[in-house]
Amino acid sequence: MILAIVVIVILAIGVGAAVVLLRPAATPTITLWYNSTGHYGDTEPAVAQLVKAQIEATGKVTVNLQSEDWASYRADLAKGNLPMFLLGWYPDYFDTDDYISPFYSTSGAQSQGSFYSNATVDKWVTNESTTVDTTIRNSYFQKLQNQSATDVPYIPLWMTNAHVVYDSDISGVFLHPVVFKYFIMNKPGFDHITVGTTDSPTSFDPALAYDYFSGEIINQVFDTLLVYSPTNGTLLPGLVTQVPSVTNGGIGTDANGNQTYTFDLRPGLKFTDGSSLNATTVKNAIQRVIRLNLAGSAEFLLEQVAQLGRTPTIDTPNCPGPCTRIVFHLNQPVGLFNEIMSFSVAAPVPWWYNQTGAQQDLVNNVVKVTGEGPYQLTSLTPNQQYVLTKNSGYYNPGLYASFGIPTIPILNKIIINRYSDSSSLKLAIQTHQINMAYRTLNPTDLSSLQGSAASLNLRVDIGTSPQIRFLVFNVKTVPFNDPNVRRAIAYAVDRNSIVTNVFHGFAVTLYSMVPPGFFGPDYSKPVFQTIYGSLPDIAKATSLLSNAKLAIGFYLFQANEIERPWT
Amino acid sequence: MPKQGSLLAYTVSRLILALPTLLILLTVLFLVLRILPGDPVSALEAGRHRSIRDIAADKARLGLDQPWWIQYPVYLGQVFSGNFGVSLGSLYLGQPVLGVIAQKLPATIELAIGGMIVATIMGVGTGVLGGANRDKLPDVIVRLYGGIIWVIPVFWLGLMLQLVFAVGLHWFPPNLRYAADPVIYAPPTHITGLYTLDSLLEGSLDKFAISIDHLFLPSLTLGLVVSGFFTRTVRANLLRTINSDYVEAARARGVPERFIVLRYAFRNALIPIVTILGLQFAILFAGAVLTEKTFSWDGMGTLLLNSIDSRDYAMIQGTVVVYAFIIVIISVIIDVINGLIDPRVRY
Repeated sequence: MILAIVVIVILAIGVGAAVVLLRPAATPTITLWYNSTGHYGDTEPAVAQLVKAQIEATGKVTVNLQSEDWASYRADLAKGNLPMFLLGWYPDYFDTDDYISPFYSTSGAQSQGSFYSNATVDKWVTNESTTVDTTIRNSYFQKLQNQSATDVPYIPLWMTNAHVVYDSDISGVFLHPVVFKYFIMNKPGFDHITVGTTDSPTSFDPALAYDYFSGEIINQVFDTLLVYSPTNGTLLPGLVTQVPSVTNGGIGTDANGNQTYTFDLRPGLKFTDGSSLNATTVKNAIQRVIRLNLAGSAEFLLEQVAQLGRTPTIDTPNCPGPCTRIVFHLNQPVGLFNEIMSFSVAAPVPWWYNQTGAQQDLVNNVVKVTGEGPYQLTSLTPNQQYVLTKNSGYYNPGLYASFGIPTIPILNKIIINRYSDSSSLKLAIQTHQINMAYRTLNPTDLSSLQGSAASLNLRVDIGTSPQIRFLVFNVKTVPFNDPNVRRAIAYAVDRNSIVTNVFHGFAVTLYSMVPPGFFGPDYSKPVFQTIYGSLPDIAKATSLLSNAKLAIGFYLFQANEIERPWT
Repeated sequence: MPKQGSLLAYTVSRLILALPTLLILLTVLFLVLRILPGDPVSALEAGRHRSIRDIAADKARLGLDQPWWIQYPVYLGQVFSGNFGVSLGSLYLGQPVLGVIAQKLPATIELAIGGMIVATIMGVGTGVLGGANRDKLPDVIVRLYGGIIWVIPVFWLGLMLQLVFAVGLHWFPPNLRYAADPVIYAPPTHITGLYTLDSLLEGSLDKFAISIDHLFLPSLTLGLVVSGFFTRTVRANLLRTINSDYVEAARARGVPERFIVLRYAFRNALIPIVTILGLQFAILFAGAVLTEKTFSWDGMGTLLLNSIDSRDYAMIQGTVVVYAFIIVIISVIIDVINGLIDPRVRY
């Protein structure tokens, strides 16, 4: 009798457990990732919450939110560890291609963490980037945007403005579309300024860095062959004597019929540690980036977009000797080569930089970031403070003389302090603890500072910005390897709600990865608006999710950290 | 051999007893961090798309693939030899965990000491005020203060103090541990890492003033929140001693009430306060995490938050173990002070 009771109890427990653990999960779970440490300001959690609610409105899926610090986020997305995440983009160079190649070419998409790959699209990308004919380019850009809305590896969401708040007596502050230049700023009566930011870098090695704040520091410390004018996207000679063109013979053809770009370095260039910078140094630096091909880096810009290939052909015809001439032989003609040579990934680095991996910024508490730009990075306290000190041996102080800036850098030091969030940054500028707040104040704080700027002796500059924000799917992971799941989310997202509720109007909705109205010919086409509408269509999203090949998830498996209810 | 009842014998016995306490604490940490369902690597990898092979490699790297009876002695050996490994996170990748903690710890110690000073002054002051004026208006106000201040979120209080004292009155800087401008205000030379102490050791009163200036608001925030518990305890103890026989006897002999309160009742009421002081340090360190975040204070709390953000398991473990060590050491110190002021506890 007792035995029977024991058996019955055991059976009841077993059946009960099976019923509880193996019952179909209410809804499958997906994870939405966002950065938690202020790279995009502190509006990210609110955006993530809204997107989560919009997707969950379908009733077909539960969205789990996860976040991490910026450096880990960049590393994780490049490794393919993040299935769905929020990301932003600030241009590397001033051309529509910079919103296409890095996203839709196979190699570019790896850096963005989408791992999208489509041979036809790759061909279109190559075709648009190897011609300067606007009609042909327009045709390819239209095809590419249409395909982007069909395949949906990314969902464009909104565009933000750029903003900077600073003491009203600081001059030379320009919200440059590509490079923020501290070295042209001045504050009468002061030899330095203090800047606050909520951002944090990933690395100051040009071979790895591919995010805004890292690039911002690199641009003060390293010069590239060509540099941008102080206020717009016009290219000027940087380390070289002239901008290559067909007219001046800088762009030509080699004996094999390949296009060549010839650069002549200024003589006597040196890094701040005294090591020389010649044609061989430039060649080695470019080869190093391509050889290392670090995950998440902009290597693909050199290898693919600039058509240098895996084993670039770079001549240094007068080495040994003056060793100032560099000739790049391209696999195919490229209209954007000069622009790419002005991006941080092409910045020369000294010979002693790590040749087997990324150069560490700090080694035994000694800064190991060495360039030849207007400033040196002289002190670095991770996540706390970065001190830029004037490079007294800067090779080209008269670079911007023709723009009314007789000598650069003007200030002796730029001290950048990191603050934990927007409200701390606002308090710091409000109380004049710092002279400038650059990236990123949230809309409420920005609006409040705008209102009190005059009484606080501050200036608030707000400008349209080519920065775009979007959702990325790692298309190699379940369930996002199913285009219908991605399309369903494209139907579900409500851009207007994000712009209104999170950004209080300090942003505009975006319906293509190519932002409208920034570059010469406007190739932008609001393809997501055309296909998915301006407002969310939950019925269509639900229908697509219902028809997606979803296996039944079980509670037992949902307890596992590896996402698997969709397989 | 020290004589029983001597302070030395008592101190030695507390130190010996601290070892099993520490061992228990470390064991609990071990259980929480490694044994409970959902090992740390899986927890840290939650939501990521990673292959089982990669996750297994991470576990192997951290020794988490071994059975607990092998992990445990290895873990204890590492802790007691001060080897916490190297950072696995993005911010301090490859740097020795203990080295990074050594850089950040002084900031938190300075904040905790500042907070404790504020808590003691406010807690004891208001507690005595309430206890000495039972059921009168000051007592009602003190009781309200003790009840409310305890439940105010530390980040909210910090923000309010920033708005009033930094933005409104411009009396104190809103955040950071030292001036944002190291060119005009060079930080003190690193000796102990405590800016206030290093300034004095350097002989610079200006730097000391700047350090105190920056320390004031975070200390006030942390101290006020913790002071609520002190207020209530001091008040209750004072009331108990005020009603005790020896105080009644003193009153009967015509000793003035003020003298009774401060000379007899207050001193005796302080004995249990010293004990809770030790316990409050633990709460203070916990509160310091949010306070550091609010004031962009680069200490252990910020380090812990950053480590969690960057999934730096080695740093998380190192930070928590160091916290545990500190709490045990403070407990021993408090026990010894107790033995000093009340010899009865030595027996």
